Amino acid sequence: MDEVTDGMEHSERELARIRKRVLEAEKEKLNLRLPRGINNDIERIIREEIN
Amino acid sequence: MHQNQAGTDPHHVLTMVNVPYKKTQLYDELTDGYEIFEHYYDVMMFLAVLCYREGEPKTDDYKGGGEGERGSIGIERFHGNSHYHAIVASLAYQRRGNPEAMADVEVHANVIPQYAAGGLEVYEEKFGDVAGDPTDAIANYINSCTEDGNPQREDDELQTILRNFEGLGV
Amino acid sequence: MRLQRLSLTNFRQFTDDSIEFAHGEGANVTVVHGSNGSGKTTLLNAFTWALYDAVDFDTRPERLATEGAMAAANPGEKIEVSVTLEFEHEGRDYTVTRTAMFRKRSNDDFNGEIEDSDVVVEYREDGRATKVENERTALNNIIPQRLSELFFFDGEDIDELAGVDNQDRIQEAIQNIMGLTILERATRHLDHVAGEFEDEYAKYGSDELRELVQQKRDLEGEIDNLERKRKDKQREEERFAEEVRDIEQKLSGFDDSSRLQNQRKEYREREKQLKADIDNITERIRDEINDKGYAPVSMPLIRETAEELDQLRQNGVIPSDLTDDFLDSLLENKQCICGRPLESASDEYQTIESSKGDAPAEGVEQAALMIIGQLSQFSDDRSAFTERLEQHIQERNEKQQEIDKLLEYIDDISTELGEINDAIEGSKSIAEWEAERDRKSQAKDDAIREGSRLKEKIENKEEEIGNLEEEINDLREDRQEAQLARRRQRAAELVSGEIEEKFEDLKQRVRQLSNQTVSGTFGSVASKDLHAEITKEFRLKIYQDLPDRRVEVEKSTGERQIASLAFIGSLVKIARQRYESDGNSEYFTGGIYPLVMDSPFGALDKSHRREISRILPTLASQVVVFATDSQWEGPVEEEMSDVVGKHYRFDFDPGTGSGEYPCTRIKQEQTPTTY
Repeated sequence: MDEVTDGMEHSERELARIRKRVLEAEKEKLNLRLPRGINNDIERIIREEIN
Repeated sequence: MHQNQAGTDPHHVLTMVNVPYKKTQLYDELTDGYEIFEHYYDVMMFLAVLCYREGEPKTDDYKGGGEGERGSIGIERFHGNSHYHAIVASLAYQRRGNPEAMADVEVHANVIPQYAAGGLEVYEEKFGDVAGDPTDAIANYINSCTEDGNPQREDDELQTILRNFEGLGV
Repeated sequence: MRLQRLSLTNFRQFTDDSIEFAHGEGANVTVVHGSNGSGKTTLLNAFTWALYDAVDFDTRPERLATEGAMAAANPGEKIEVSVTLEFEHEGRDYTVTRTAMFRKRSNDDFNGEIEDSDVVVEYREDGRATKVENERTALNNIIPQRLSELFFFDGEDIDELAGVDNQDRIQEAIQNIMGLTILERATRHLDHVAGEFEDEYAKYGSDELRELVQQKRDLEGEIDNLERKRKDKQREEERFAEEVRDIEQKLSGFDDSSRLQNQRKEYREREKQLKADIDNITERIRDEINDKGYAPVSMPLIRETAEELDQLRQNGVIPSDLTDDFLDSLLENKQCICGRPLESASDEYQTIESSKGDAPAEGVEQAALMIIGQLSQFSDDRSAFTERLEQHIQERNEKQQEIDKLLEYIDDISTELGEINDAIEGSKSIAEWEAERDRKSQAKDDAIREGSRLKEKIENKEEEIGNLEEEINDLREDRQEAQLARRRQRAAELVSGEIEEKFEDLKQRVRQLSNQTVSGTFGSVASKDLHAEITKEFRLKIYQDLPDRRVEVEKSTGERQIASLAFIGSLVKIARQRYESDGNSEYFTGGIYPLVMDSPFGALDKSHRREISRILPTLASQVVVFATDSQWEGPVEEEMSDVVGKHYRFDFDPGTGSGEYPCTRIKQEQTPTTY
């Protein structure tokens, strides 16, 4: 279904990078009971990677 | 059985001869109490042979002292039972040392309680500290009497003696 | 992390005490035992207080300072409470000291008001000392608080891990140990962020788009509500199911109880019979005494007498041939004994006549012959007495032995009945219990039905959302910001989906790894042909192997505990393996953890305690066990004596006198491995 993908493709590399950075961010905050601000961190990562 | 007046014929059993004896609580205990022996005279015989075996016949205080301790049994009780008659005659003989005693009723009546009283003391010694039912203690003691000797040899000796007397109407 | 020493000052009932931990190959177990209430749980809390400022006391949680110290202080004075934990981790020797000052406010204030609470973390490495600034983070990196429930383990909760519907706890444990939590959180957070981007998309998009997105949000909200309700229903269902199971256990207890009572009644009747038989035998013994007892006792008398009579016979004292017949023949022949002729009515004739039947010699002879005649009887009666007595005694002994055995059986049954009756508490009758079970069963079914209905509603709404999303997808939004937001949303969703897939896959892999250890450990100790397994749904199940198939069995408490311990052990092992091999993977963190267990023996029977004692030392490189004295003594002590490196005993003084307060001293005991 081409309509869905136009403008919507993400390269494998893009997604892989996002994944790596998100997991790293989570890992850093893993040992905290409440990982404060993690959502903002993830949002920022995605904004940076996709623009 | 010859009928004779009392006292003139010492050789025959008369229904009037009594055996006075020292009657302690043990008699009651062993008959009505623990129902080991059936009659008082059974107890007396046991005590008597016990005394012959292990003790000494008493010469004083064998007829009973205080109230309730003076017992009396007819001699026919002993003569009526063939084992007991044999025992009583033997005791009389052993005590007096002469054969006439075997057939002398008055001697019997005298000797039985002497041995019975001696037997009371032996009983006390042997079974005095048994609490409650002495059945097992008495049974074990009686059993040990057999083991003390050599039963086989003894039986053989008795058989020999018996045969010696055969031909005499035995 | 390798524990070295724990020191306590004024911490609950410990005024000034410390424990050193065993480590190393072979003797890696530290055991501390004491009476109930002497402080084992306090010790467990000392760990978590030092590391995380977290305690979980059943009684007086706010009273941290030692009562005796508070009592001795004056109002206004402060008591210092401190716990120091020394351990080694990745080449560094750490010292963690948490201190809290409690000010006594008034004469009868035992809690105190807390002032100045502080934790100091330092380590020595290569001889140099360093102070750690971000204490909380550092400690959480060494042994995360989320794992503390696993490694500082209250054994009385151990049941829960392998409990019937605790797959959540198992999943959680698996996630936590591997840091898979990262994946789970990432998914959740990405979904949230995706939602934010969708809102942004809507913001820059058309009214139509906004409308659709709003509808989607509304539906999502409704689904959340329905999900919550469904979870509640599910919990309700589980609760009722457990209650039904409890009642059924009670009911089977009633069955067992009546069966055992009948059995016991039978045994008692048999005992009575045997006792009557024994009385019978004793009576027979008495008969023997009465009838034949004279014989053995009078043997000497009879023998001696017989011998002497025989002698008399030999000497002619007992005439051997003077009988009535002879006398008659003399009279007939009118001859005297001496041989002279007799004349009737002569004195001699009279004498002989009168001798008949009453010659003294004849009376004696009669008596003698009577005695001799009894000899056989005496011999026979003597042997008969012995023979019969032995028979009776043997018979009586046999019966007595049977009685002794019966008494043992009766005793066992009574004990078992006692336990069963304890379990069947309450005053309900069987009928009442059955009625209640039916009610609860009905309620459970209702909850299940409700849950299904809710699930259906959720599915419908999800379908609606699906349709909305399709519609949203179909919209072509022109603004660049909108398109960008849309792309970001999609990216977040895709990455989330990938990670979630990976997460599920890894959980299963860890589950399989865990299973290897679990079945190995369980198989090595549990009796019968049982084996344990964590299913794909993360339920811990125990199976019995039959020739043609496998059957799930109801776990006994002992088996549940063994399985739970095996599971925890497997996690520790996996964590260690990961730590040693993976280094710095994306999500596997791993680590080397000790196991500190409070009362892992619970209410187990001796053979299960023995089995648990065997596997405990193998679960982790360092194992610390707290137990009550009665749990420790016996099979546990026997099994563990080889592996105990440090042995401590709580010496508890309840302080019952006036002016006295509860206080525990920790005393070190000798171990075979002390050197």
